[in-house]
Amino acid sequence: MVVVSERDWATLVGFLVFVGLRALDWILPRGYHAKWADRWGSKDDPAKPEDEKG
Amino acid sequence: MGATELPWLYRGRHVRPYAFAVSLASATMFGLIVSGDSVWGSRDEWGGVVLVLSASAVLLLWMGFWRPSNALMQHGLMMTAVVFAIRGTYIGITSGNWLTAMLSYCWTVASGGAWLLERTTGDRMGGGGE
Repeated sequence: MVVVSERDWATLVGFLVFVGLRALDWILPRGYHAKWADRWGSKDDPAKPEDEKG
Repeated sequence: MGATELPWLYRGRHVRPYAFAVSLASATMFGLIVSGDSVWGSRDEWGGVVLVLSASAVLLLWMGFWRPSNALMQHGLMMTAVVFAIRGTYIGITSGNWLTAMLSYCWTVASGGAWLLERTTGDRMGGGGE
C-alpha cells in the first residue's frame, strides 16, 4: 500500500492549483466569457433595458 | 472590465494593492520558515523548496512592479497561489485545524483571481506594464 505523506498531499494540491488556474485561463477566452455574458451580463456591455434605472 | 491597479502612480508605476499585500504575506511566510517558528518545524529539503518558492514570489512581484512587467507580476501571483495552497493543505493535515488552513486557501483564491485578472486585463497596458 502506497503511503502518501502530508507533504505529498500539500505538493499535490499546489500542483493542482497551478494546473487548475492554467486550465481556467485556457477555457475562459474560448467562449465561456461570451456564454457567461450572454446569460448574466458583462461590465463591458451597455446596460440592458431592464437593468436601466430612471 | 476591472483591473488590479489603483489609478495612482508611484514613480510612474501603477500601484497594485493586492500584489503588495500578498508580497508582504509571502515575505512573512519566508520569515516564519527561516526563523523556524512556522508549521514546517525543521528546515529540511521540502521546507527549503517552499522557502525558495515564497522568496521567489516576493522577488517576482517586486521586480514586476519596479521594471514594470506584467509577465513577472503574473508569475509572482501564480507562485503565491501555489505556495499558499501548499501551506493550507499542510497546516490542515498536520494540525487538523482546517479553519486556520482556510486563511491560506483564501490567499490562494485571491491570488488565483488576481492572476486571472492580470491575464485578461493586464495586456491592455502592454507587455512592459506601461
